[in-house]
Amino acid sequence: MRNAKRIFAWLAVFVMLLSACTDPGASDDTTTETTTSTTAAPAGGTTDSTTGSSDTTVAPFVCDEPIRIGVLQPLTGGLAASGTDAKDGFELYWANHPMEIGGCTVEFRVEDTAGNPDTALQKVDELVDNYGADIIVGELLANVTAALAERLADNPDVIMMSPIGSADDLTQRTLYPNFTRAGGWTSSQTSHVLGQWAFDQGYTSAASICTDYAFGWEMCGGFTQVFTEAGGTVDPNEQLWNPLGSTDLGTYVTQLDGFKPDAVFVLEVGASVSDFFQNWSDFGLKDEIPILAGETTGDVAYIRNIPVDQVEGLISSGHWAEGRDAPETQEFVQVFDAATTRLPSYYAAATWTAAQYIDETIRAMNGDLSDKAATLETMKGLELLTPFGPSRLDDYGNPIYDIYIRKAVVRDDGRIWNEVIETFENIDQFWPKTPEEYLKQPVYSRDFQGNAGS
Amino acid sequence: MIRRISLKTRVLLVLAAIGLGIGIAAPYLFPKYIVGLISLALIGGLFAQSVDLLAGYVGLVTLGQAGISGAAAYGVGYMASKVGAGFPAQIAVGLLTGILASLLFGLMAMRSNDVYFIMITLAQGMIVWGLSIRLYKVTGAENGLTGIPRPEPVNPYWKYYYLVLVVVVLCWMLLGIIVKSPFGASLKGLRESETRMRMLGYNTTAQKLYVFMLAGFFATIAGILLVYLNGFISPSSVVLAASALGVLEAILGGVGTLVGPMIGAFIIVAIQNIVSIYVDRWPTLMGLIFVVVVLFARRGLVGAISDVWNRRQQEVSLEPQSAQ
Amino acid sequence: MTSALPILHVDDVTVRFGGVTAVDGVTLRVERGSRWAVIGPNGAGKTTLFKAISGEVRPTIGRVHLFGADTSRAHPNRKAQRGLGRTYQVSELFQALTVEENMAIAAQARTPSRFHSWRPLRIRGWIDERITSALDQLQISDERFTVVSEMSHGQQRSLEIAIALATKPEVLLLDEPAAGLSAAERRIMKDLVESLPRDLTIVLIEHDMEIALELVDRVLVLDNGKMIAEGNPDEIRSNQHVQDVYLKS
Repeated sequence: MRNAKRIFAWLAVFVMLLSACTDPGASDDTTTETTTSTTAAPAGGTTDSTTGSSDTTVAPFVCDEPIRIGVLQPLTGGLAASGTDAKDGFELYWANHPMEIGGCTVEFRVEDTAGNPDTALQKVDELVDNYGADIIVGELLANVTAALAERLADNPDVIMMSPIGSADDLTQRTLYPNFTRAGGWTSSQTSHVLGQWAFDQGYTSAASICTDYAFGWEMCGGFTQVFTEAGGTVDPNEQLWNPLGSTDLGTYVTQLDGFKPDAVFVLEVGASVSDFFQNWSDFGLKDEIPILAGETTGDVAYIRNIPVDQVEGLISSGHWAEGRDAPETQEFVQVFDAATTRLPSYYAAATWTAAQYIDETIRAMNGDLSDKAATLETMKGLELLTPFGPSRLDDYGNPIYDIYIRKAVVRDDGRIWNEVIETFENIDQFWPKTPEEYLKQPVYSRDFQGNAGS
Repeated sequence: MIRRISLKTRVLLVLAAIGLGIGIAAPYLFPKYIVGLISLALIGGLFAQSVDLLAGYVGLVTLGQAGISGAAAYGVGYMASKVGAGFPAQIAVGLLTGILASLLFGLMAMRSNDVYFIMITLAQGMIVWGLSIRLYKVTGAENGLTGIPRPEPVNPYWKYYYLVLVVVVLCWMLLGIIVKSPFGASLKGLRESETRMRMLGYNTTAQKLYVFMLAGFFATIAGILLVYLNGFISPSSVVLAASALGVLEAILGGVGTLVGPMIGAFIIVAIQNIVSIYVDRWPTLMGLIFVVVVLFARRGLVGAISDVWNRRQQEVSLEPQSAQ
Repeated sequence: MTSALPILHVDDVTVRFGGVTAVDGVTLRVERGSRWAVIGPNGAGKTTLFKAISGEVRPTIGRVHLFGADTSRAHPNRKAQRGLGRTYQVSELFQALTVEENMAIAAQARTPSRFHSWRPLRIRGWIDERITSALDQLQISDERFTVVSEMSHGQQRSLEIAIALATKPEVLLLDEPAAGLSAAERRIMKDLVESLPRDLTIVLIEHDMEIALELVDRVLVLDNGKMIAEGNPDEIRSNQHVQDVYLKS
């Protein structure tokens, strides 16, 4: 028993550490409530404009029960900041649109997954079985999204929407009948475009550094395949993979410098993003080698926390560009900025758009979502003008929309955001290939990056 | 004296009967998701008991136990989703990987104590986690392995719940026998003084290996039950936090008891899944509860309750017998 | 069994820790059934010699023969299995357990049942007899169900010996059994040790020369790790060198 005290002391320290680690992102000062299940229409019938027309009162709406939506996002843990953006986007949509649609009440509940798939699986059971959700919207992480989609796959009473989690195969090789990515994207969809654009700029060789996990492989693979098939070269030995969560990328940066490529494709996540840009500028490479960033790495959620001189002018591609000069985008940006004093990240735009898809689907179905297959078909038939721009779904449930080449620009108020420098219109997840052609190849991985000619 | 013990035993028996009664009636009393949560808590409790067999009875705090249960779960998951083997093969491979992992880790850890044991088991957990991330062809990396259906006869959630209940209760009874056995007594001796144990003739290294493997066996069972419950295994099940949770559940409920870790697991599952619906900063709440328990009830809830009970009994027994 | 072979033979043992020589060329031949004392001032190397015998440290030079076999490099548990018992100067008891549990752990230590994990431990039959007799021997039977940490220091010293006895050793090393006891308690402890079975071979370390000399047949005196005298108690009492060493300390 002599050791007991020492062990307890150690454990006490450990407990403290653990609870500190899982503490909710203390910086999020926005909201305090988790459950926003209002039955009455909030904020009256204020603005109803962004979505266009379609308030038909011709056919009678049938609603025995409220339409319930369960939202799963990481609100605590390392992803809390992004998860909170996602939550805010969804909540703000409904705060600005009536939750009474033709006599049908919409309710929703946001629950915290802590970014853990096991927790998410428990929560989704609760949302489906207990809360009675018709639609599940989640999650931020690709692996959690995949786990949720798998769990709900054989439940015909629920539609699963993934506006953020972007694992390619969910709308490609592993289709689930009740799954759609309305409001979302596939990882390689936006980097395909960047590969073409890079070649168009006259770059002939590229290196890459991507986080060593499925999302990194897919983002990197999308760029590499299109760039090399267009005529550029990417030496597989010059594709670097750093472990998830690395925070000293200095050695990788020196290696990249040694390769002397025309451009470097970068996909980092989490704390690695700021570390990469710090190193890149410390080694004096910012004006030496152009960086082409994958969508999330260039997202305003990250670059707003990085010293401006390190990221000003950063080129990235994305389906989201908060600096896009179009009313459907800027109205949303203003609503979000006013409510949270942040420029919205793609996480926020995605859940807002998912809510918009749900809203329009309810209207089109006259409030009767009992037949989920028919509901999903209806959703796939919608053509919406969303904050992302014009959006519709392909046969696989993945959006077709414009992809933007973005440049990080400092606004008049001193904040940085992404403005559009070039638009590739109507891009689907297979572009520039056909679905049949594309699906013959395996999903991108460390071993398959689609490097042409190597 | 004798009557007092029997009163305590009687109370415990009644409590156990109530617990078992609720356990058996649960699918009829609660909605599906609550039954799912009870399954989860039972499995978590078994896992925490396996941690407590080391931490509470031998004084060897492990931070790598999820590596063992995870190895078992990945064994099942690999056979199910990548090989497409039948259930006997899935379960056999799961048992094999789990037991193999506990043998290997036991051999690595059996010569260490205290903080060194913590560090070694921590490293072992990290090894499994690292492998789960790196060997993506086997483990699916971050995406994990999906498509792990339950065996048909126990596929409905409530049937699987009963399977979990039966297996966990059986394991609990086995653990109960182990800790009361001659070997169990020697484990307590090991916790108190390894020097003395060696001088009495105990091969303490062999003892530690044996108990490590016993604990690993129960963690393996928990891992297999969990992977079929979730139909899913991913690196998040083998991270350090998963191992630490077992330790924390044991501390919360009361180390050195078997009922303690089970109670701890139920509390944690309730906080994670039910309280978190209403309380935004539930991880902070969890951390606070732990700190309070560690500071004010070092023997956990079970220890605190039994202290209060004993004190009351003393008062009661002192009053009428004060003449003696 | 009055063979020529001593039951314990320490053969020219030296133990060094780094540059420090704790035990320096000590030789000791202990016949079966005899009682020995190892005395000497603090830091003389008595406990290190014990550790070399028990296997807790390995001799740097020299050999330790137990029961006729060379056990110089054997682990303590191997030696204990052969029948070596040892007590500690600072009690090494299972503080959180009861006296009975302490004794049960010791009593089963040299039996196969120590690894039995699939049946409950029951204190009855031979194990009960062993516990009872050892507790009676040390006169702490009343404390059988007391938790060790609640016992008095004197009782703990007795339990220290009782535990060693419960393993049924043939050779017993007693490391200052009277350490920390009052003068009165020392006399009781002396009587207890004296009353131990005569067929048990005992080697004891004792700081208190008077007690030690009353208990044993043979005495080894150490100073600075070296043997400075060996003989029967009377010889030691009259040895001037020994007296000098003790007066000096």
